[in-house]
Amino acid sequence: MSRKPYEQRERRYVQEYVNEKFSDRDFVLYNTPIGPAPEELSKAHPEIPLEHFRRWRLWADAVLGWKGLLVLVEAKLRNPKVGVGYLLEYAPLVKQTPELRAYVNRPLQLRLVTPRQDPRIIDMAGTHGIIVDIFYKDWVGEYLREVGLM
Amino acid sequence: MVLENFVRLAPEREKILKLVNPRIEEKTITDPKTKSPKVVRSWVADVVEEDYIPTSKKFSTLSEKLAGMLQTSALSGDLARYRVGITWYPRDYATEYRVRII
Repeated sequence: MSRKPYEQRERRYVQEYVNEKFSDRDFVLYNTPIGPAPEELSKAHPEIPLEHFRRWRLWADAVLGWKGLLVLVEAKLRNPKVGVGYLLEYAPLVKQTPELRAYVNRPLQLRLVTPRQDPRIIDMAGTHGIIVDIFYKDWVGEYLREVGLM
Repeated sequence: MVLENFVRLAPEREKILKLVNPRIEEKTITDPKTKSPKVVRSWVADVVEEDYIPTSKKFSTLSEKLAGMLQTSALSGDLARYRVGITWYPRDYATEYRVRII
């Protein structure tokens, strides 16, 4: 039996979320690198090859300017608790990100977007100052049913 | 003489494009790894503006990741309304693209 072709669902999901919830945004960057440039990291850690930092750079699903804030968005369709970890990892690195240099004076807001309500995740994220947005689309529901998560 | 009919991305330099008429096209390419010909589907659009200068070129990508982002922008109407800034971060199998809606 052949495998179904891989689909970029989370990228579609995050774009649909941003378009619906932040139509009044100032700007949006999708799939943007987070943290210092690889060359900078390699200088600080000469024992680790530059290629490591290039290959393993961190990527946020979306970064947007909205109501004077810099909003960092991580979308998780299947496993939202992982998104909490990513946001906590990315937040302190925003100020060191060359691609975001123009926006670092804005207060940072962290948002996890996921289609299923789970009070455990919402409570845990809340203790870290992360807003959880429940964003459901019919195609997401179909996908989650297909993989047995709904 | 090289005819510049297609927009080329340079590593880690944002290219700002106004894209119209997005579509999927099939073409035969030589696989860079195996060197054998293969038919692939690429996401293609006409470029009417490149870095704010009017032009008449095409933009095409085989990247599932980039095509997914651009196709979502096309379906949402973003592509028709806005310019897009595309930055290519070449990393072999870990290649990434940042898309900025401008």
